[in-house]
Amino acid sequence: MIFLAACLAAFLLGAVASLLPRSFRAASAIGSGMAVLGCLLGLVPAMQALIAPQDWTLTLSWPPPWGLGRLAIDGISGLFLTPALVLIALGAVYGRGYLAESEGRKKAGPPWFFYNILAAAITGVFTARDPFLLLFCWEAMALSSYFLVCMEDGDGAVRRAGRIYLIASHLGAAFLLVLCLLPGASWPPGEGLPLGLSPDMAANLAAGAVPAGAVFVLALIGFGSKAGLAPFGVWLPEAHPAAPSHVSAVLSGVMIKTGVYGILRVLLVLNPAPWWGWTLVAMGGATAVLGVAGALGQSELKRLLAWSSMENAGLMLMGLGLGALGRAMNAPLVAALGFGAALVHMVNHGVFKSLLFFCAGSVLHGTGERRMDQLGGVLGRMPVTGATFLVAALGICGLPPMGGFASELVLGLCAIKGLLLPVSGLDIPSLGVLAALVLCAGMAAAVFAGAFGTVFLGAARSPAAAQAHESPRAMRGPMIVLAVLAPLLGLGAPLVLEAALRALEPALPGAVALGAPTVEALWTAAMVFGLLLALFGGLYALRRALLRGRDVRTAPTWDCGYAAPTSRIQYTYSSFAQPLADMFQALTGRTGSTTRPWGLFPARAGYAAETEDRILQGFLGLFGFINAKLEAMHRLQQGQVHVYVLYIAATLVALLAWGLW
Amino acid sequence: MHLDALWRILAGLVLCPLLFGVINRVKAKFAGRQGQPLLQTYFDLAKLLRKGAVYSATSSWVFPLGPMLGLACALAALCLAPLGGQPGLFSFEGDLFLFAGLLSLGRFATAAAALDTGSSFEGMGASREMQFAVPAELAQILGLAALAQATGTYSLAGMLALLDMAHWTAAGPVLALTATALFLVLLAETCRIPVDDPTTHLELTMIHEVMVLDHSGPDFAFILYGQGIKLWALGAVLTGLVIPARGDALLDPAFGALGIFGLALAIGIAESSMARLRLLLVPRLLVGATALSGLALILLLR
Repeated sequence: MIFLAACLAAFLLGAVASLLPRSFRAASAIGSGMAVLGCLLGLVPAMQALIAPQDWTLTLSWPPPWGLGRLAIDGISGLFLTPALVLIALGAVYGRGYLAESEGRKKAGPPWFFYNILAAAITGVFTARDPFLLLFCWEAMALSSYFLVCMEDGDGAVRRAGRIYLIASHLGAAFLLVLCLLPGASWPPGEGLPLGLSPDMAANLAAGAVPAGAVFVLALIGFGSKAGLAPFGVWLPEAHPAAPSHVSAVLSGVMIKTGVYGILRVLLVLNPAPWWGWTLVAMGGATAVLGVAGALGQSELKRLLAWSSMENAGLMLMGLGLGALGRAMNAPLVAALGFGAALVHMVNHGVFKSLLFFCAGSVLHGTGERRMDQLGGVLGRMPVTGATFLVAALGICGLPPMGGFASELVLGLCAIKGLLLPVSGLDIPSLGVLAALVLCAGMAAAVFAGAFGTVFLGAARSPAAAQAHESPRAMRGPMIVLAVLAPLLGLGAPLVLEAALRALEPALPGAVALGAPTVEALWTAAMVFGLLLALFGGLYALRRALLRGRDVRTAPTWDCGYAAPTSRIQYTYSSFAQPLADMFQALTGRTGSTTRPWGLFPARAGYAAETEDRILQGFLGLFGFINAKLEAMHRLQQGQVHVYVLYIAATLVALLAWGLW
Repeated sequence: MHLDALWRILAGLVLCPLLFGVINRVKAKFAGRQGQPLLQTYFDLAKLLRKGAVYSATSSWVFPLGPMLGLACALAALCLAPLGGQPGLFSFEGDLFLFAGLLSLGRFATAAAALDTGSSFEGMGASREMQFAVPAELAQILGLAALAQATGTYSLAGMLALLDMAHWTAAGPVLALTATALFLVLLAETCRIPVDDPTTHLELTMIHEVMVLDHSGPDFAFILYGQGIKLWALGAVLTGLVIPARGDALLDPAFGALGIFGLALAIGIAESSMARLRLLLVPRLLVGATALSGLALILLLR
């Protein structure tokens, strides 16, 4: 436990120390160095908890008003904390290279101050064991990430995104505030009560006058808004792309998971009712499909990645939903696999999405261009970025042999097993999860094939793309590390699933045994991955041997005899995604504007992809309405002291009258 | 690992180019032509493997990755596909996802290679391929899930081995629905009429053929052979469903292989008797296939 304390101390010390030096380089060296040191220290207990369950607690001896300040790491905390710390450390290394170009323009202290605070807050959220500390860390996380999102505050769009994020995260936190300050609240809910007595939990909670269902709804909205759950996650596609890329990576790769973590804790400790699972499956499925359909209609790479994060959060929540249904309907097999799938996907998505954001930042760094349709052919000039992006794209689409496939397999198997169990009420949600999962996988493949092809392949569409340059070593290093990790997570997926099941074992007795056939299946799948790699290697050698000494020529691309091809005639991402995006127009709203060719000699035709975010528009309309209606209250607010004194006096008299009645 | 599957895989490796010969011969007979030799695809492959290659100046290392990865994925999928209900080299619970995932990876690699040439035609083909794959994959997985539901097992070999005459008499209509859906998926995945026309020479209307316009020599041989392997693997799963299993380790695979040639016959008849659908109608056909397999799945729910 001393390591966890040292980890938190390193983050906090690093935060303060990075503000002190005047020189840009010293500040960023201290800031990123302390963040990496803190992560390394924190990884020790997190990994230990993964391998064998530990029951340490760290009780802070402060005199707090509402709690003791207890921190502990159990299997679940360890599972969330390990990828989080790895990604935060890599983000710190990457960020040092990424921020170096702003030397002389900006100070290095504040970004690193907030980065370290964010790291400490995330560690705190995953380990807090009492409600007040959780709330405190949650708020620190929200505020520090707000300042990080708003780092490029010269840009009006960034300030707008930051404002949306701040409002959305505090609306979500309002629900958590209620959850954490309920009479007799504890975190995780009901902790301290004997775990085996789950059926009595409702009664226990009822004694505190809070029905378990209410706790679930509060947690769903409060944590779900952080996880990007539609419709509360409207801020996500705005805020994530606005942040500097190493922060986007941490927000999408790590911070989204704090929401999943919170919901998982509630589901594991309370005794879920079937409607909890139905709600989670329905909302998760909607989030996943909306997220990937939204990604189809984007024109900027980072915005596309943010929408895809929503999709993946939806997949995790569907896993949690199946798990909750399994628990509620006494189908422990479905419970173990559902929660296990969510946990495995949490690990995989963190790695892939962080890597994708690193790559997007690298492209932005190397070309200065955000719009995909202005890029093209970047692979030749940025080989490391392109290759690592390809690896991450395969992973995020759930294609073998990457880790993403393993999480898809576990979730799909869980759905099929739920379908086959003779438990009524489990089949329709399982069918829904299966359909949404496969639909999302296919659409994600289209999204990322299009994005990779448009940005990295073909010919450059603009001078910015033609003059791209590879990023410095500090940025390439973390990308390479994650790109190596991606196939390893595929081959080692059974180990990840095993770790997840072990972490679930205390709450779901027998989870390891129930998941054993699936672990076995993943090992066989890993053998097929090996076969695939061997076949690929064999074909590579065969092709080399065949072409050796033969006539291998270079020629222009086949152009159907058209004499003057330009790079502008290439398919863009907008045109690539348009047919598929149109299929989902009913969901996402208008995806673009078309100027149709007209007349005998059509002069100009065009298509511009621009997706409006209907949910965000809806919220803005709602808040505008509330604002307009509350205008009337302005009359009460006179700004004159004697009127306010009158209000106080009137209130006192009214209360006095009520009390004496 | 089922090592006895090696000879079934070998049969697929050797016989799959013959399928194109059968399809072409059927189409020739319908058109009243003599037709090309049955072994023409073997000759084509041998010719392509002896040639050099021409590469587009725009393309990068991703371009040759497409054919190699595409063929590797098709071969790995072949190793998973049971023939006549007898397991492939590997069989495990949930291998249907890996089967679909491998085909999907091959598709991704082909589409990336197409986009790498910077050709607007090939971009068009890649866009269509990825679009049509969405409903096709959904129809495939839901159809296979319906088979899992009908037999109570989770692996391809498990379900196809259990699908005997008793299942067909008990749940015939449902299995027929699934078989229809899987047949439509097969037509889409192997680029046959009515989804795609493998013989057309008009780039604007093609899907798969247009994606591989710039490949030549051994690369194109890999693509051609990969198409054959894919047809064999998907055909093996479909015939495993249609021909009831009897549990005979020798006769069942033989019937399965014969069934795949019967399937080639059916494809040839379908190709001769109808025209390719308008491209805008193809998604409707595939969504229809999804609806069929979804319906089969719902009918099997208790």
